[in-house]
Amino acid sequence: MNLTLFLQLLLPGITTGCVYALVAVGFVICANVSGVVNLAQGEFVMLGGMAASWLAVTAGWPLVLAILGAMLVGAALGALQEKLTLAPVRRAPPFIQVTTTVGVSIVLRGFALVLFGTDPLSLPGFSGDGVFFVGGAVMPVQSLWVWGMTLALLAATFGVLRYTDIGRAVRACSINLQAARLMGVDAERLRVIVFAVSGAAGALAGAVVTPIVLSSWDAGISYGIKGFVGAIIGGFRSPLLAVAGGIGIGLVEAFGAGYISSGWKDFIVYGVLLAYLLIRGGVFRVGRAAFAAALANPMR
Amino acid sequence: MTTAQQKTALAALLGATAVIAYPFLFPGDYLLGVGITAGALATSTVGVVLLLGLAHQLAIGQAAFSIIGGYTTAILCIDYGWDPFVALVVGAALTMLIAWAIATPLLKLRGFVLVMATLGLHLMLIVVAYQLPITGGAIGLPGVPKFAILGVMHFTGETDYFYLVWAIAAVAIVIGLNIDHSAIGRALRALAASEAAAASVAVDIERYKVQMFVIGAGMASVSGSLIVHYLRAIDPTVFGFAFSLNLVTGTIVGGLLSIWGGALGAVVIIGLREVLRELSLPLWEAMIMGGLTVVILIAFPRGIVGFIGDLYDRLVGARRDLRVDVTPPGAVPLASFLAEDKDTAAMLEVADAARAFGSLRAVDGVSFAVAPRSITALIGPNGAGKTTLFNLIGGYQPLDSGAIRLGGREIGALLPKDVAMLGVGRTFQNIQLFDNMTVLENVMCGRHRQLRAGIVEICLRLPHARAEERETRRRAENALAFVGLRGAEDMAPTALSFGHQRMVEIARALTLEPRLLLMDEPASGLNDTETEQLAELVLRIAALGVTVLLVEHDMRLVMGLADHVVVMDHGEKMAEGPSDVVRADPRVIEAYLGREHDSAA
Repeated sequence: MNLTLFLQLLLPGITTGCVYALVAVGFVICANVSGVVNLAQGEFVMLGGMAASWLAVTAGWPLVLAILGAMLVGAALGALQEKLTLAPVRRAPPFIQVTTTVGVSIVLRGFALVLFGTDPLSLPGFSGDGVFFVGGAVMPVQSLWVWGMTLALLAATFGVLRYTDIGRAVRACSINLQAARLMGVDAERLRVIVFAVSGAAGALAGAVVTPIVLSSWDAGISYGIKGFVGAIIGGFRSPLLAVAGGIGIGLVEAFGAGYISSGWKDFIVYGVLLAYLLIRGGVFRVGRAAFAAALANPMR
Repeated sequence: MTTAQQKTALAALLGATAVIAYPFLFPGDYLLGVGITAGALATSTVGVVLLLGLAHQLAIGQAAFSIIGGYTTAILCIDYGWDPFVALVVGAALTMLIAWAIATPLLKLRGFVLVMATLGLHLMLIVVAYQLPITGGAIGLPGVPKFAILGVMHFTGETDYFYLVWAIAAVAIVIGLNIDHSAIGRALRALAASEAAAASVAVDIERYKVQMFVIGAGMASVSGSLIVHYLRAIDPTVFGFAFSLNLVTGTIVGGLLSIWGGALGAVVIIGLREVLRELSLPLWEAMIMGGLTVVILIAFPRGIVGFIGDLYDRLVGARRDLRVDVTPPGAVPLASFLAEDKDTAAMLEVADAARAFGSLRAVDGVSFAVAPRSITALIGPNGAGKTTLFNLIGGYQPLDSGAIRLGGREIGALLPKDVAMLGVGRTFQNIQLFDNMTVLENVMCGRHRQLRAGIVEICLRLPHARAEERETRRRAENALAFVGLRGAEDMAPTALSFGHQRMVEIARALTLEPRLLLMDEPASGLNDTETEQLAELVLRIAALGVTVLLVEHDMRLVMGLADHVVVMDHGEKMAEGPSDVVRADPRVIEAYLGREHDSAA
């Protein structure tokens, strides 16, 4: 096997996989505190990229401020999504809640389209547009930023989850929402915080990859679906498995494009998704468990 | 004419008028084209209502099927010179075949997982359209002819094609309405309201889900073909992600729970697009439609059509109070809703049944038999395992070991709907009526076991389907009269008192023509008068030859009613026998009242 080609596929695969991993972690944590899978998750990545590019390139802000600005936008939109659209439908059937997040994702896409137009935006590399070589493979220096930022964000996430009150509250909610509430966890406030943080983290991820992949108003759906694959591989429980899943999808995509066909890249990724979902389908099958739950809780 | 029928007639009249008038009001090829697009889209959105609104399947990649239909049409017409109508039909047939093949595994997925799976499928098909030589890659396939039917009718003018497209949309609407008003519509609404209760009346959910998926796919395919004939070309961007989203948002805004909502949604979305184009704000479409969708989901989940419907009710005063007429017993011919000649009796046999939850042995080796045409009561203190045993019999929980036989047939491994299919009706401790239907419709749901009309007969409302529907209605009305609720037919179940709701539940179970009726604490929540009426009703039911097994706390009710009593405690059978014998059993008294002169243990 050609090692250079292998590395040339592996390393960028890890880079995009990092973004999917962050989206996946966002999926998992939001789902666990709110009980809703937020299908708008990918749009925050897109918006972060767009906002950072616009602030830095068009408005001429310093890069750091532009990135912070993008994160602020992500945090604000995340909190608004929870407060304005999810809180009112909390008691509605799950079906309505999921559809609402689809509606929000359309709004966010539309928002980006109106604000930034149809042309993709770009951003200069954080430390120049240079490249470096690994075993013959050429990598943009920006990749290091992506990797570093992902590691930092994941470390922060796990640190917060493990060692802080908020993190403990999040973990408590994910184990048993009802019990956590009875123990005095303010679930409403917690949800807003988690959505804001995951919005900001998504935006940061979007800003950091934009120098490599550009940013376009319609990119959110692809981040969303691929991050979702990562989340579902972790069974929507384990953030760590979600990270592995996200990076795994990045690799499938890169190797599929390199060794099979770049045109069929998405076909392969979504095919893997579909195959995985169908194989795992047993988990979500209508079974006696659902009936038992309905019997125990007629107020569903 | 009921208000529902009035509304349908009014909607049909308004819709037809609007369609006929449109070419006169908005002449010119461009505006006619807008109307054509709306009509083609309406064919799809009707399918979305069936799938999302009725079957609650969050399949939002419907444009995938428009891709299949659209490309089949284009390839057959351009490369092989087929007649457009034949190509459209073949495309739809092919699409439905593919949909049918993937439906069973795909629809095992639920909720957000299904959203992602169907989106993934759609995006995969877009890649295929880009990559395959036969689909012409990014350029697509130009040169699709204008629509024609078998070389006889040619739709060269835009006005002609406009009327054709809307005629096809009308067919889709009629099919949708037929399904909505049929046993399938009731079954799917039943499922949305209460999964357990739907299973208790033998609703075969999986089959209906697949049927709605396949029909929705067919409609999306036809819609794709129609659009391709209007555009005279197809490329991979025509039925893209935005197209799928438009179908969903349009349907939600129009009204997800109504076929008319789907059709209206298509008009709204296309209309909005034109208005924004006029205002030179085309980029705002997604944001406005997304925003509208969210607002409607939060504030008015039944969409524009639901809003108009409520307005109509208020204007016409349809919500006037209905009187419930308590029919004296005996006024209803007893066999008018039960099968007349069949042997309705059955023998239930529970042999060494066991079920544990972790280390808790909820039911631990219980055996007893229920004699045909008897009333048997299962009693015991809280936590004795009665309800668990009940759920084992109904198939709601699996047996760990032992056997349950109905008329000699092993039923321990069956699912609830299959147990119900064998003629085992049940009522629930916490009443489980379908709040999204009228009282009569609730009771009509009981008759799924006897229904034979096929999906084609239902879609087209053929005579057999019609006759079956009439028969279902007649029997449900009789069952309601039997429990003393004549006059409550068109009321919402939630408008009834708790006691009356329980009666509706019993009527629903009776419409199943049960051999065995399981009643889970039927007297819970009832006052004394209601309990007396219930007891009298249970006796009348048993007099019809239906075997009754009830779980009950109310000892007075049990002792007055039951021929045979089984007492459970700590998951085991403690005593069994005629009610007076059991009542005198010191162990039973102890379990209920505690030990007399309790010496320190």
